[in-house]
Amino acid sequence: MQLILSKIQTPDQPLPLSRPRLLNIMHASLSACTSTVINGRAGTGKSTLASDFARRCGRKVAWFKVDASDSDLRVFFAYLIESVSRARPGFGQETLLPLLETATIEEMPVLAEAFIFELLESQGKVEPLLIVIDDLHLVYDAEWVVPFFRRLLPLLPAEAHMVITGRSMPPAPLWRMRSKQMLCVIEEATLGFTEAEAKRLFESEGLSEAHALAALKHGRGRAEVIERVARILRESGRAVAEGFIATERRARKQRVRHLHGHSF
Amino acid sequence: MMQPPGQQNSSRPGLTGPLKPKPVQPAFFLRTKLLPPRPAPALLSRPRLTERLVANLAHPVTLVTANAGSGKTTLVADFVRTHSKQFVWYQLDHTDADPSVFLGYVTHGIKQSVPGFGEVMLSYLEQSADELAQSPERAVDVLLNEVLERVDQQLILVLDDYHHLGTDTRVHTVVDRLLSYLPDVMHVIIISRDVPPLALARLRTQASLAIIDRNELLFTDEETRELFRSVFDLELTPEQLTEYRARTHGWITALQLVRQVAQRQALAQGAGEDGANAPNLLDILRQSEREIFDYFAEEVFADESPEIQQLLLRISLLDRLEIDACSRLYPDTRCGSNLPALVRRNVFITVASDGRGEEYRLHPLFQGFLRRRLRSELGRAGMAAEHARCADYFLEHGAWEQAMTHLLSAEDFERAASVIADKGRAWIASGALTSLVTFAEALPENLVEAHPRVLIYRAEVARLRGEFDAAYSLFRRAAALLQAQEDGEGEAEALHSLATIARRRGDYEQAFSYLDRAVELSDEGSVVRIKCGNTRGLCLMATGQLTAAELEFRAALQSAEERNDEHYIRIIAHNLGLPAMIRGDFGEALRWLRRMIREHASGPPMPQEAWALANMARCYLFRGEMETCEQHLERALERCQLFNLIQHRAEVFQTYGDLYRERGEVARAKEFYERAARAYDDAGIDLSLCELLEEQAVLNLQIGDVTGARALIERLIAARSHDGNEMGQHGARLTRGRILLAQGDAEAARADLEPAVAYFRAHGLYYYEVQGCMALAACDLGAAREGDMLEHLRRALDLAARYDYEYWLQREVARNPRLFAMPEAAELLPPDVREHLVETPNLSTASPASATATQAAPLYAASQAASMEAAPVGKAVVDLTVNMLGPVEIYRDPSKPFAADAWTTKRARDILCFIASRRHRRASKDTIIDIFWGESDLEVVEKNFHPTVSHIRKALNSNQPLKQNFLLYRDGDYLINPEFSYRIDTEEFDRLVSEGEAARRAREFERCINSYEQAIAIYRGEFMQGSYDEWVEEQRSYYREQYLRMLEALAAVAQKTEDWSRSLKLAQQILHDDPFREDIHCLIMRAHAALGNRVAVKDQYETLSRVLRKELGVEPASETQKTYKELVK
Repeated sequence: MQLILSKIQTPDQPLPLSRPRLLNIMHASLSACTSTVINGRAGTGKSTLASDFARRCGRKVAWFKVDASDSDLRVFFAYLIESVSRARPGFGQETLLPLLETATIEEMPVLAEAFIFELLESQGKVEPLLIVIDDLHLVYDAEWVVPFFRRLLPLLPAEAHMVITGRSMPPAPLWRMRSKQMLCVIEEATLGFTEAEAKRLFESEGLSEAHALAALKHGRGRAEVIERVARILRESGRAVAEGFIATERRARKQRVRHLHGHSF
Repeated sequence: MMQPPGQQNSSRPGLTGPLKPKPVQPAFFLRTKLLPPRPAPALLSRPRLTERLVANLAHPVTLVTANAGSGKTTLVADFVRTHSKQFVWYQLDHTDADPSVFLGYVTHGIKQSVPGFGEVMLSYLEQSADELAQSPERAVDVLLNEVLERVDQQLILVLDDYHHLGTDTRVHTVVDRLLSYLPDVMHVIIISRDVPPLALARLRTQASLAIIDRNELLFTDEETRELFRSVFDLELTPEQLTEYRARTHGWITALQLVRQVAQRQALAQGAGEDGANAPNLLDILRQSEREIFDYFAEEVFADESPEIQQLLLRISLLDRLEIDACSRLYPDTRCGSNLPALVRRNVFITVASDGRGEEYRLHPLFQGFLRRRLRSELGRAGMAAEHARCADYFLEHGAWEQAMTHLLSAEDFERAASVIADKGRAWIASGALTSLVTFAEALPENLVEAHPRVLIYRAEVARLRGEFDAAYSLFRRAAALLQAQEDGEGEAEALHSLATIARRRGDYEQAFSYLDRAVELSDEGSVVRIKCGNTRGLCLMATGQLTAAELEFRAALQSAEERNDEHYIRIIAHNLGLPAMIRGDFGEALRWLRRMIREHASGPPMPQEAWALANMARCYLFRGEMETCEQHLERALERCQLFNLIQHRAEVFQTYGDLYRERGEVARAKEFYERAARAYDDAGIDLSLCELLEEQAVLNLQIGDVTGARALIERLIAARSHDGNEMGQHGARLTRGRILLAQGDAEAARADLEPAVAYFRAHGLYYYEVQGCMALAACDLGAAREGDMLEHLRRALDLAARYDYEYWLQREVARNPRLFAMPEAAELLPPDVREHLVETPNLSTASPASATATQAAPLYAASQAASMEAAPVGKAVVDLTVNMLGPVEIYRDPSKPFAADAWTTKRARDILCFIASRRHRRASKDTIIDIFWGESDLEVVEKNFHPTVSHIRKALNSNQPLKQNFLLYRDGDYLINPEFSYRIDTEEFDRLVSEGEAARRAREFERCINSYEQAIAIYRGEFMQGSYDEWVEEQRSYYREQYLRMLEALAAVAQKTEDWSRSLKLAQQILHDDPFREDIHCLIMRAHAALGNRVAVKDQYETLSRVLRKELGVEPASETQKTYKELVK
C-alpha cells in the first residue's frame, strides 16, 4: 500500500498566537493522564492546539491525520505504525504488521496490548513520545475503534502520551474512561476564546480591544472565526474587517430569519 | 431534501482525463494555410459576378463550384480583396478532414482579424477531444457563441479547395451546422470543384444559398473582348473573337492559351517568319480540356530555361511551397528569385501572403502536368528517391505529417510506421485523428505487427470517436503484440485503455483485472500508473466502494504531485472530492474540489471547471453558504454556456432550484426546476436517472403540497425500482418517508425510513443518514417512543457535529422544535443551537394547520404550510420582458437589471423595441436600416450596423448568468428568438383589446369590461415615452387611440350604471391625455351634478372655457354650454 506521507507529518504551517491557558491544561494532562482528548465542532481550534502543543511539549512526535478512508483497520494501523516508527525507528514492523494480517474484532484487545508492548520495547523507548491522532471522529463508526482504544488507553505508559482530536464525543465506552483519571478531556466550552485571550490576540496584531470584543461576540468564542477576523483586520486594514463583521452578522440574521420563515 | 450527488454519478462519472496538456496551437498548425492569395498581376474585373457576390452577402453562404482552371479562386480572391474589410482565407487540403483541425484553423483565422478571439474555442479544442470526436457539431456551437460574443464587423470566411476534404469526413457535419446557425456578421464562401456533400437543399429552399457555377464563370462575349483588349493587350477581329469564344465556351484557361499562341505568332512574325509552323489554334481547341491544357502547358514549359524547368518539375512534388523549404531542398535552383519571377510572369503560379509569411501555389492543372512529366523523366525508382529526400527534409524539421505523405509515396513503410509509433500521441493531441488513421491504414499489415504502438493510436482514435468495440479489439491486439515484444510500458498503456472502455461499459470486474496487470507492468510513479490509479478510483466509486476509491485517488495524487504534473493533479484532486461529497463531508469535499479551479490564473476558462464549480456550489448549499453557492453556480453556468455542456446545464439549473427553494423563493425554485427539466430533455437524459423529481417533491412538501410531492416520489421510485441503483432507491425512500410522515402515516414512514437509514449507515452516507435519523425521531415522537427518539436524535446530532451540518441542524431545530421539547432532547443540542430553540415560539400554540392534522403530522408538513409565500406560484417562465407602453422597461429577471450602460446606444435599445413591436416580432434588415439609418451613407451603415446588433445581444446578457441569444437572423430578417418565452406589453394589450372587442360583439359586457380594464392597467403611459422617432409616433398614436377609446367606453358604462365616482375617475384619465374633449368635460359635469356637487360643475366648466380660450381661442361649443346651463339650473 502506498502511504500518503503528508498524513503522518506534523503540520508545519505557521500557527496563530499560542494560548497558554490551553497549553497549560495539556501540560498538566501530560504529567497526570495517559491521554488527552480534544473535543469540539469544526473550527474550534482542536488541531491548532494539538500542533502547537506538539511543537512545544519537548517530546518526539508521531502525528497521524485520519481520513474517512482510514476506517479500514489495516489502513489505519499501517499509518499509525509508520507514524510512530518515524519517532522510533523499526517500531512495530516485525511484530505488529504480521499480527494485523489476520486480526479480527475479537483480537483488538490483544492488538492493543501488542502495541503497548512494542512501545515499551522499541528502540529509543527512553525518549518520551507524543502520539497525536487528529480527526479520529472520521472513523468512530468503525467497529474496531472502541475495543482497540478501550484496551489501549489505560495501558499507555507515561512516556507515550496520546492526544486524540475529534469533532464529536468518542463512543460511550471511551467516554466513560474520563472519570478514571486516565483521560483528560478538553471540551468545546474550554476551547472557546475567553475575553482575555481575544484581547491578547488582537493586541499582538496591533488591534484594538473593541475589535477583539466585537470579534469574540461575532464568533461566539470560536477560534477559527476570531483568528480569521484578526487576520483579515491585520492584512487589509480596519475598514474591511468591520465591513466583514457587519456582513457576516447580517448574513447570520438573514439565515435565522429564513429558518423561522419556514416554520411560522 | 438536498442530497449529495449519489446516483447521478453514474451519468457524471468524474473526470477521466482523456485531456492532455497541449500547446494552444495545434502541433501541425501551418500559418501559410491561412494566407490569402495575392491578386494576379493582370486581372479582368468581372462586375457581373462580383455584384452577385455582394448581393449574396446578406445570406449565409455562397458556393462557387466549377472544375479546375475556371477562375474560381481568382474571382473570389479579387472580390474579398476589394469588397471586404475582414476575411479569413482558409486553403484546405486533405489533412483538414478532421473537425478538430478544421475548427482550429477557422478559429485561428478569425483570431487574425479579431484580436482576443478564440480563447474559449481553443480551450475547448484542447480539452474536449472525445466530445469533439463524437459530436463535432457541439464544438460548432461553441464557436458560434464566441462569434456572437466577439465579432461585430462583417467577416467573410473563404473555404478554398473544399473538394480536397473528400466525401467521407465529419467536417461536412461541422460545416452544415455552421451554415445552419451562421450569425449575421459572418458569410461563408465555399470554393470547390464539385458540389460538396452538404445539406444544401434546405439552404436552397430558404433562398439562403447562391451558387456560382461553371456556366457563370465562363467568359461572356463581352468579357472575352475586354479580356483580350485590356488584359492581354491583343486586338482581335470581331470574327476571331466570336470564333474563339465559341470554341472555348469562354473557359479562361483556353482563352489564355489563345493569347499564348497569338503572342508566339506575333513574335514569329516580328522575327520575319511567316508563322506557318505555328500550330493551328482551332485544331487544338477542338480537343478535350485536359489535352488543351497539356498542349498549353507544354508550350509554357518549353519556353522556360532548363534551370526553371528543373525547378518546376521538382517543386511539383510538394503540396505546399515555401521559399525556405524549396531552397533547402533544391539548393541549386535559386528559388528565392525564380519563384517570384514566375509569379510576375503569371506562369501558373500564384503567391499568398500577409506580410509576415508567404506561400506559393501552383495551378492545380499545371501541377498535375508537371508531376506526370517528372514521373516519366525519373521513373518509379527515381520518384521514390525524390520523395524520400523530401521526407528526410520534413522529418528533420519536425514536420512529420508532411513527411508521411512522402514516406508513403516513397513506399518507405518501415519509416512511416516508426514515425506513427513515435509521434502518435502528439498527433492525437493535435486532433488530426483522420489523418493519423488514413496514414496508419496505408501501412502494410506486417509492418503494423512490427510496430504495435501504431495499433494503440488507431485504437485511441476509435475510442475518442466512441467506437468502443473497434477500439477494444485494436487495444487487445496491441496489448498482445506489445507483450510479445516485451514492451511493458506500451502494454500497460493499452491495458489501461482497455480498462477505461470496460469501465464505460459498466464491466468493472474486467476493468480491475486490466488495471491490475497494467500496474504490474508499469513503474511506480509513471504516468500510466497515475492514470491507472485515477481509473481504478472511478471504478471503485461506481461500485460504491468510496473508501477504497479515496485511497486510490490519494495515492495517484501523491504520485502526480511528485511528478509536478499540474494537469493530473487538478483532475485527481477534483475526483478525490467526489467520494467525500457522496459521504456527506462537504468541508472535506470542498478542500479537494477547489483545486480544480485556478482562482487567479489568467489562463483561458476550461470546460472541466464547470464540473468542479457545480459540485462546489452544491457543497456550499448544503453548508448553508447561500451567497457563495450562487456565485459558484453563476460561474458554472457561464462555463456550461461557453462550452455548450448541455447535461451540465441541467444540473446547474436544478441546483439553482434547490438554492431558491432553500431560500424560500418558491416561484423561482419552480422556474428553475422547469428549466432543468427542459435541459435534461435536451440532453436526452431520463429523469429517473437524476434527482430532479426528488428535489421537486421536496419543494412540494415544503409548500404543503403533500399530494403533489407524493405523486412525484412514487413516480421516481417506480422508475428506479428496475435499474438496481440501491443508493438511488434508498434516497427516494427517505424522501417518501418524510412525505408519509407529513401525510400523518408514521408507521408507513417508518417502514421506508428504517431500512434506508440502516443502508446509509452501513455505507457511510452520512448526510442521508442524518436526515433519516431526524425523520425517525419524528416518527418516534408521534408514537411516544421517547427512548428511541432520544437515540435517533443522539445519532443525528453526533453526525451533525462530525460533518459540520450546522446549517442543517439549525434549520431542523427551527422547523421541528417539538422534537426538542423534552429537556433530555434539548440537552443534546450544542448550547448555541439550544439558544435558537428558546428564541423559537412554542409549537403548541403554533400554526392552526397543526391542530387539524394527525398527531405525527405537524412535525414535517403542517408547519411549512404557513411558509408559502405570496409570490405567484406556477407562473410560466418568462425569459424576457419588454414593456413599451410608458417608459421602456426591458428585463430578464426583475431582480437582476441590466447594467446601466448595457445598451451602449439608445438606438440599440430602440431597434429591439422596433422588432419586438412588429408583427411576428420580426423585421427585415433593410427595413431596420431604412428606419434607423435612413439618412446615412452606406459606409456609415456598414460600420455601425453589426456593432449595434451586437450591442443589443450583449445588453440582453448583461449581468445575467445565463447567456442567451435573443436576436436571430434568418433569411434577411431579424427576429426575436422563438425558442424563448416573452412578455411584451403591446402584444398583451392588443390581445386584451381584441378579446374585449370580441366579447362586446358577443354582447358579453362583463367580459368586455374586464378585458378593457386589464388593458388599461397595462398602459403605463404613451408608447416608448421619451422617444420621438417617426415610427414611434405612429405606434404611439395607435395605442393612445385604443386606450382612450376603451376609457371612454368604460366611462360610458359607468355613467349608464350611475357609478359616478368611477365615471369621474375614468373621465379624468381621458382628459389627462386629451384635455380638449368637450364631451368628456360634459360627462364630468354630469357626474358632479349627480353627486350633488354644483361647485365642482362650475369649476369644471370654467376650467374647460379657460383651456379652450387659451389654447385654441374659442368658446365651448353651444352643446356644452347648453349642458352646463341645464346642470346648474
